[in-house]
Amino acid sequence: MSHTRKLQTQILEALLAGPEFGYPLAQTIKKRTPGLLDNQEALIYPALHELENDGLLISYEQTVKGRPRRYYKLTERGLKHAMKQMDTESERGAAQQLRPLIGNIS
Amino acid sequence: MTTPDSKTGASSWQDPKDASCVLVQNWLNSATRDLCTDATARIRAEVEDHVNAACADWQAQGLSETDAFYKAFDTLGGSEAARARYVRQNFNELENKKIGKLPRHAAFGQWGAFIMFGLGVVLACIESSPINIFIIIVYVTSMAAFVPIFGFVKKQSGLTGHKMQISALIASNLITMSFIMGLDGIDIVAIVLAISAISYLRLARKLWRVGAR
Repeated sequence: MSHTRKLQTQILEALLAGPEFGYPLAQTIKKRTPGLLDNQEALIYPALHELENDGLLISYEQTVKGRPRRYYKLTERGLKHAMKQMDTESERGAAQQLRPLIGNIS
Repeated sequence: MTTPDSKTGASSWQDPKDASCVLVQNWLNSATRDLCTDATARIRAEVEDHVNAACADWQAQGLSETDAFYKAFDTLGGSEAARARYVRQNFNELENKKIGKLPRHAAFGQWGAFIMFGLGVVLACIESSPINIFIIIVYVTSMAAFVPIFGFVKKQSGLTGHKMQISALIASNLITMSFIMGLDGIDIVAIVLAISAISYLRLARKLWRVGAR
């Protein structure tokens, strides 16, 4: 999986918790996947823009302390995509856990 | 460095006289180089907000304002790497200008193709000696069908806005080019149309990637 795809997957999963703006999203992703955004936090924005162009996210502006702040949230399509992604990942995780057992049987 | 403005949340790095502000502005100038005004404004606002939030976060963790700024700035990463991604996702100024002119060019392209078709009919009439009535009927019928066929294809494609306009323009360019190629002496126009079609194809690729128009 390319860096961009990995980042987009992480963004979609992080946004399952609710709408968020760039900085806290970047921090969540850095905690969940160390190394993905280390010293390159600005890369989160083109990834967010691409997801928005693909119709998986929508963005809106809110004024916070007199300054505009752009929040991102999942669209219905984005939500389905993120859920499907989570399912695939958990299936992959379960398969990995089962692999030694299957190996022992065969 | 001065203290952050508690009312607006503005930090000293937003003071144009401050060296840290120059650093951020240079980063932004480099990351948004050649991008269109809309994209530049959006990226600037987002990155400035990011730096602001990061500064506040580091200060909350006990760093001084200066240290918090440099920490925030360092974690932003390189401006060239960011620019490479922004360029893929946003239009540059030239592309934006071309997109602005699309409605006019698409209409002109369609009429151009229609006129070239008419020219083809006239030439076919002149060249067929004795006049082949069958060829003339085929040409006139096709010419009459040209506009409704174009309209039908447009409707069926489900495309709207700039995507529809650029598709129509590429189709018109290719159709006009195919008529001109048969006419001696003006092959150069066909080459120009081919180059134009290729440049519009590249723009169309970006339009589909950037989407939402």
